Amino acid sequence: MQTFKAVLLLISLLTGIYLAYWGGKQQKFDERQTHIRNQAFRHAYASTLVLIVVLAMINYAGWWPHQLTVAPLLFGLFAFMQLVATIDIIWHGGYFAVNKTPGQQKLLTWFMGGMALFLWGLIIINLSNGVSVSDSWDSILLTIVITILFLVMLLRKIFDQREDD
Amino acid sequence: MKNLRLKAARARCDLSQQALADRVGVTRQTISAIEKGDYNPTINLCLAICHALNVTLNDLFWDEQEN
Repeated sequence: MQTFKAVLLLISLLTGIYLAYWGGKQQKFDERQTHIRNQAFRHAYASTLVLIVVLAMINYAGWWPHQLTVAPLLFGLFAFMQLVATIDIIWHGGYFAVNKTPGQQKLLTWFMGGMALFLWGLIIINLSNGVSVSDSWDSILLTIVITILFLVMLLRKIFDQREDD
Repeated sequence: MKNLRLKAARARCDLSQQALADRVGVTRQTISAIEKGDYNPTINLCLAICHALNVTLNDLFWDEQEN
């Protein structure tokens, strides 16, 4: 089982590296989308700075949970920043490249929806089998993120269809 | 500011936003944003749109107020 997980992780890593450096060149974004993608990271950076200030104030007020250490917090901040940027990009129509067909866009959107449904199903099964919520926090947070991204994609699609032509 | 001249020129050529976007090589949302005045295109994109609609830059993108 450990070997399987290690192989899965290695495949994911290699796929990510490929998509980042070679796969991305297949995608073509127009100038407005490029502008949006740059703007999204500025928004995400600003949002993350605000969040850090809020967390610092919580800590100063003495409300910081003692069991929360620095490493998971840093990971959470980076994940938050990435999530805000991705939502911003999706909402302003910069997520799908110009050369992505409507069919491909639909496929990815509903794949996200299917994945969210599957993960929620797994969580419900685990909780009903007695697994505690505190042991499932990582899975729950990941599933919430995927659900949010799916909903943003879906809403964007719905509002796009309502625009005047 | 809305670019109604672009919308009118597109209508004269009987093109939908998607059709114009395909000709120019951008997304439909970009054409919509330009028409609504939510995005100011670069000169290259302006030229590409004018070429696709067979009009001049003055016809679509000259600001009457500044003139």
